[in-house]
Amino acid sequence: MNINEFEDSLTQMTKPEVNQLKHEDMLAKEMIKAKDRSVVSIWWLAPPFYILGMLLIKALFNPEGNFFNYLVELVFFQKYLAISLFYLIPGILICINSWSIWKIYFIAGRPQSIRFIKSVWLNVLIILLALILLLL
Amino acid sequence: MDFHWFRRKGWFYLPVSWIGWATLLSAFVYVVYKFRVIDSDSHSVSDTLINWGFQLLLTGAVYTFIGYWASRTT
Repeated sequence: MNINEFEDSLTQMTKPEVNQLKHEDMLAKEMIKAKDRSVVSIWWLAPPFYILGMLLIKALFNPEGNFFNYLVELVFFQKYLAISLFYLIPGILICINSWSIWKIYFIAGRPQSIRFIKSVWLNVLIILLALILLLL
Repeated sequence: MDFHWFRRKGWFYLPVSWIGWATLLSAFVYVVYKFRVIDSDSHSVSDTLINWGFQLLLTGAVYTFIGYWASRTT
């Protein structure tokens, strides 16, 4: 299709078709943005889970060790680090990813299908992991 | 304002401009410097690697955030 034919088809296009094209473009852009945000979120979830993993290994290899005691020690001695990694970052990630899911859900016309869950499964997983950090 | 310093490839942001490459190089120099600092204060290899691993992840997180911020088109 050359450019003149494309322009002709655009002028002949009815209003709902143009709206649908714009809508699909918005949805595609929002899904790419959600993927970008989920990648950044995963990177920011990695440090607190790394600390938890190290504390868990320490508790397993030390016969007198207790995972929750080590966690309390961390909060006591590294107050600002613990607040940032276990409260602030998970809170921000929950807000950002919930916003992404809500925008896709809204633009897609409130779908009730499994395809919607498949498209946002990573954002849902990040929210669940962030909730685990908050509840600890 | 448009930034085209990075481009996302899977789980990583790859630099596509000299500013992006400078950022990646700075991050690399920082983690090498942190390794040397942590290694000089550590008592064992595992002690070094455990503490350095955290710094590596934190640097990666900051770099990814810069990559996300500087690759978007508004």
